[in-house]
Amino acid sequence: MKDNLQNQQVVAAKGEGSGLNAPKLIAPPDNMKALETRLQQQAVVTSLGLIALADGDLQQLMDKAVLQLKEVLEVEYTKILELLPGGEHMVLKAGLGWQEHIKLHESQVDTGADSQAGFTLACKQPVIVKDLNTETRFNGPALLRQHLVISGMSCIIWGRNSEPYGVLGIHSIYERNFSNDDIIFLQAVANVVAAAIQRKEVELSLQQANDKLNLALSSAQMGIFVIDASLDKATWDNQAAALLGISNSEGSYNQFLDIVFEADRQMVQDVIFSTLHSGQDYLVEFRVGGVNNTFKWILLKGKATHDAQGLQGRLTGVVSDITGRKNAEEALVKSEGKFRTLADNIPNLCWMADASGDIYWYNSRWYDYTGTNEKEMKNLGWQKVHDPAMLQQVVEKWKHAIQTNTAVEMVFPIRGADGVFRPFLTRVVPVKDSNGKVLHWFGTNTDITERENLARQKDEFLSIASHELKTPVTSIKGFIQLIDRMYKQGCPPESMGNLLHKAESQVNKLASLINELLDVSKIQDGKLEYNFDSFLVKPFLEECIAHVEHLSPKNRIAMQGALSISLYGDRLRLEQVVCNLLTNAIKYSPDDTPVTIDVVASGKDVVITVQDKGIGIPEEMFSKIFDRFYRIEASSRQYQGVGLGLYICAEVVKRHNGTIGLRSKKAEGSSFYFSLPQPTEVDAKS
Amino acid sequence: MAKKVLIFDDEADILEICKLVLESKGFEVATRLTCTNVLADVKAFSPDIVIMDNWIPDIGGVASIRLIKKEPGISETPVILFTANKDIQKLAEEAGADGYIEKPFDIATLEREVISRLS
Repeated sequence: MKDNLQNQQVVAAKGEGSGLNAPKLIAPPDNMKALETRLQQQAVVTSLGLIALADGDLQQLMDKAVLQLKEVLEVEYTKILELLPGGEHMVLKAGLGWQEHIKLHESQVDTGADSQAGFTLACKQPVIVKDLNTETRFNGPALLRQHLVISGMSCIIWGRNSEPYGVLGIHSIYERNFSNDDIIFLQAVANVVAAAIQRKEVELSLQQANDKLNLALSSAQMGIFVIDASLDKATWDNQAAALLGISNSEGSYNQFLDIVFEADRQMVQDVIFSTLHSGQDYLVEFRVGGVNNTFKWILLKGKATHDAQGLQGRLTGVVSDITGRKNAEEALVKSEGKFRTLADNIPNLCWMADASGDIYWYNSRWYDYTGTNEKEMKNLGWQKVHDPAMLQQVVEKWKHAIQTNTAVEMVFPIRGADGVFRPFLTRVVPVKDSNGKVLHWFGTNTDITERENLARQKDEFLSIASHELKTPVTSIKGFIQLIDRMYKQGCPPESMGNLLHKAESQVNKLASLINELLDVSKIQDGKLEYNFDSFLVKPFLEECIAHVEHLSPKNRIAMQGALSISLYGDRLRLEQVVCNLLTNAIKYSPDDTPVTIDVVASGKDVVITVQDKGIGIPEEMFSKIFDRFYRIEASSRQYQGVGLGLYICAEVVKRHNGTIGLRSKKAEGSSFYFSLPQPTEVDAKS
Repeated sequence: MAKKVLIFDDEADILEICKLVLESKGFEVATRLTCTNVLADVKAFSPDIVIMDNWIPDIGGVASIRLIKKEPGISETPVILFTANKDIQKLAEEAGADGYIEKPFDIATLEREVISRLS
């Protein structure tokens, strides 16, 4: 039995020797004693190796190693020294036989010239000392001498990355001849210890890496998720379980699929299949939950891994909760959608620039109005649609706004697609973050052509209105002062009658002008009242003529056509319309030409036309002539009147569901007409 | 011989008032409702002074005054602008008028303006 065991050990030793490391170290034994020693040494190495493999405590292994060395090599002292950082000192990690004051983990030796350990580290070979007293390579430190050491061996214990961990040494107070086997034995023990140390260090760094990973995962709220390629099994860590809303740490692949929201399930499955197939990285976002329509968005990201044979692959990955991000994205898309819809549908031209003032976006209105496209507007493209005369000023104001981070407002012309420059009110505001840093600029350009026209018309209207009001006042004031003077001069009262009469008619003119202004104001407020009724057209027109007859020679105005019909409407307002048209006709045509009122009843409508042979109106003014503030060629003062008359007429006719218009040729006269719906039986009776 | 005043205004009542006031002071007064024939009218009547409304058919008072002031033979005739326009002073300068009377006016002012320029 013993022989067998010995043979096996020999075979094992030979087997080892066939490896790369130690062919010359496994020499044939000289005799049985030597063989036994070798077997004993191999048994020690094996038992130490087992401790190391069993993931035993490193200190325990070292203690065991120094004990075994002491026994097997029959020496008085054994030691394991660990090289301290800096490389100048070593501390005793394990040892036997030393005096009491030599303490584990405390006692240090230096690695200087005296030291055997230092020499061992330096020569990187096992060091054998036969007699310290005759030793020439180093002096031998005081420690060894104090212990009366004569002989010994030492070798390096290699740590990670081919750096020495320390030195393993044995010492004897006798002169000894250590054999090759002894040296091999010492080195083998050192190697076992080294392997254990290296393993511990790897374990430690693995542990540290693992701790770091866990810390990272947990602070990032991420969990680990693994799906076997067979799709039988899925495993996950606690964090993943919490994120996915599941309790156990593993389950079937189908169990995993079940927690995915139904609508996303096929997509998740497709990604997993294609990742297993392609072996590439994957990233999939899906929803879990769905109770009460509340979902949690999950991101699963990772890679497919395989073993060396490319079999038994699995998908490893991290899961994280991206609900917040998804909601924010959705809100952003919604708000951006709202913004775009708004920006593209308002009549203003809008644009956005980055903090440095580079415009990167225009709304569609901008492109519509300017007739440009995105490419043309790149960089400083906007300058192409500016008036060169104003551009410098605009650029300077814009630069100043950017430098001072302040909003800016200015008016400048922008060229339309039709080549026409129109005035735009431009407002640019900086959009800032919570620290007041400008993120971008938002600009709007509002076409103020209409506004400016209206303002100009209003100014003109006010000036005309004030002139028209002052004219009768001038007459009234003149007449009163004349009468006053005549009275003081004792003139007879009858000589003043004519003047009084004229003053009174100017007062009437003033009153009617004021009424017109009030009517306009009522029309604007929608407060002009109407009293609808049926009345015969002939007496109505006769009355109108009577109102204006004093303005011109008698019998100048004639009427013709369907004079026997009835009209339905507000008689007083319609009288105002006819009188206004007659007054205009009289005013703008010579006294010796006729003014004609023509009544035509055609099917549904009655059309009343007032025709003169006057100066006529150019066609381009037809559309504007009924505007509130319009007055033909006001600047040349060729025409009189506030310009309210026709506006009021148009409003009155419109209120009767009729239409108003004119036919005119310059120098040939004008025909103003308005149509009213024919009264029905019901209207006529009511 | 009476000094002659020619008044242009499209308001018949205002013309009548001016005529009554100035005639009572011994002036010979002629009136016109338009300035369509302004140069011919001035030449024909050869007034000592012209009073010119601004908003008057067809070319308006300011343009009429400019014509008078450029026309040989009548350019030296004093012209007074006669309007309700608030910018009367500026308009008078632009037209090259010799003075102005703002409407509504005091008849005493009319008398004074005319008399002071013809004495």
